[in-house]
Amino acid sequence: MAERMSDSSSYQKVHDGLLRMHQLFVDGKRNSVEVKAIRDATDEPWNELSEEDRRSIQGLSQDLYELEGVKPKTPGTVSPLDLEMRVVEAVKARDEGQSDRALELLRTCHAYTPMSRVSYLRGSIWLLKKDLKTAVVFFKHAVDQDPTNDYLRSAWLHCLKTACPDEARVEAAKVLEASESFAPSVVVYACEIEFSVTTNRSDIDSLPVYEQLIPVLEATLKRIEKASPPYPRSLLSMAISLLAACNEHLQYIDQAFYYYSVAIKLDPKNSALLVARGKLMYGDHPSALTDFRDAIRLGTPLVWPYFFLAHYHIGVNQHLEARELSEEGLRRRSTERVRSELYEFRAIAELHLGFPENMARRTFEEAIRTDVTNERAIRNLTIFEQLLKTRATEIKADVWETPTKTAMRGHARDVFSPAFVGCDSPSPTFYAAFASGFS
Amino acid sequence: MPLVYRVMGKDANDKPIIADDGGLGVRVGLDISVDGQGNALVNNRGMSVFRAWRDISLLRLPPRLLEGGRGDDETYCFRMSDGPFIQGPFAAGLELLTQTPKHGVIRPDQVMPLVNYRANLVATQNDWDIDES
Repeated sequence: MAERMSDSSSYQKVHDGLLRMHQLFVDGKRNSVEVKAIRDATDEPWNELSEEDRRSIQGLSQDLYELEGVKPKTPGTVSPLDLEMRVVEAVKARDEGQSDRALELLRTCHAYTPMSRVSYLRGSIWLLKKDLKTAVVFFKHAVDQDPTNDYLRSAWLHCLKTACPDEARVEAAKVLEASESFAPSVVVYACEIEFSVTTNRSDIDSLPVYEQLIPVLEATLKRIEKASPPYPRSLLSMAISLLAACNEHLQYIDQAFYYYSVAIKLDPKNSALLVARGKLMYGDHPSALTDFRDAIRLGTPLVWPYFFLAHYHIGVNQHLEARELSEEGLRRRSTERVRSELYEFRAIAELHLGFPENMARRTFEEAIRTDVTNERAIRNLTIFEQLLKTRATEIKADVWETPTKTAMRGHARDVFSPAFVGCDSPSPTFYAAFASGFS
Repeated sequence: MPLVYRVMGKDANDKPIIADDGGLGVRVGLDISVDGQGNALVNNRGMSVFRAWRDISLLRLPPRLLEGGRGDDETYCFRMSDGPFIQGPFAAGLELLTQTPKHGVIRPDQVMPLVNYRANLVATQNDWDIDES
């Protein structure tokens, strides 16, 4: 595992202050009011830092000075061969998760050329430390040093998407305007950025984006397939996943199914893809259930297969399975709406399984508390109370209101796309895409 | 009197400049609390000082002192006195309040007009010397 950033808020404040100060220095504002304000704001947090954190901040500041064109005071004389060996050692340290050691080694390589490689490596180390804002600074510098290097631009775009979404969109738009003149990896990341914008838009507003991306992705896919040496399979898988998702949003179900199936063939252990194809076909084809079960077998961290399968089992009166799946689903990260519905499924299943009334009531109440907009849960609780009053001895399965399959698919489509899985951390796809490139 | 360090601009005599920001002085509200009558209050605020210059924030230390330092190169590390860094009298009308083993503030030793507190700080000007060793 890579060493992570210090979690202390003091460290974060000083770290963020330093990054901001670096940008002000770059902009020629080293004596500005803003710089003074940063010093004032970071004095107290600095006093609370451990020696280790202080060394880390100092090292970062030295590295940032290099980007500002300030050379270290004691450059020393190291032969090119020694420099190369140090860089190789730094890469090894990074890959072994010793990020601080890797950064220290690179700090002794300021005479190394090309500088873009050192900046790229620093960026990749900060990415492993899960500090995307810092990674972006170094990746950007690497791109500025070597603007024609597509690996560098891809890395930068990938990071920018999460660290600075607005800036990422501007850069992605530039790429999409002239997609043929950029390498496929750059285009795919640009498409991913543009696609991610749609999550905050209404369906209607997003449709033109999907329409725009499909031809770009199709053309890029052809380039990826023809390329020699071949691009990493993960890049192909990413492009196809995006194509599938765009088609799905446009309701081109056959096309979406086709692309998801191709992506799964390329990456059969990718549970997110199985979930995506499953939700596409849920209610229309039994293959959806197989996809969800396969995703669970693969150990998916996603809530969706549990959510859909719990719903399915409620519908076919298999309440033991429905309860177990709801329980499992509730252990996973999800939206309030999904959690609320999982509580609802659990409450219904518990009633049918003969659990105490109070327990089912509490579960219904939990569903309502979790998502106060879940009016169906309120109605189901009312139905439950009426059943108690009439002392019904048998509860019919169709007495409950459950979400329609279309509603479930719609919500899943709106909040989940396999293209986004892992977007808050470096995805395996990301690293695989670079494995053959610019280590 | 406790030995303390502070980063400040220097005058022609290599003594700290008199200034509320970056010199011998305090900024009202930020460094010192003042009541409605213009009195400097005795609380946890005052002119910031350190046990050693190496304890000062990297964002204040000039790069000539520390690689990676982000301070203004026109500022200097000054020292005053030579006693242990513990809470107690610092100079006439002033005392050191230690907030951590490495950091403290020079505050008024009793509630007094802000102008007097500032004058007390200024009165120490000749006792400060540059020490960046």
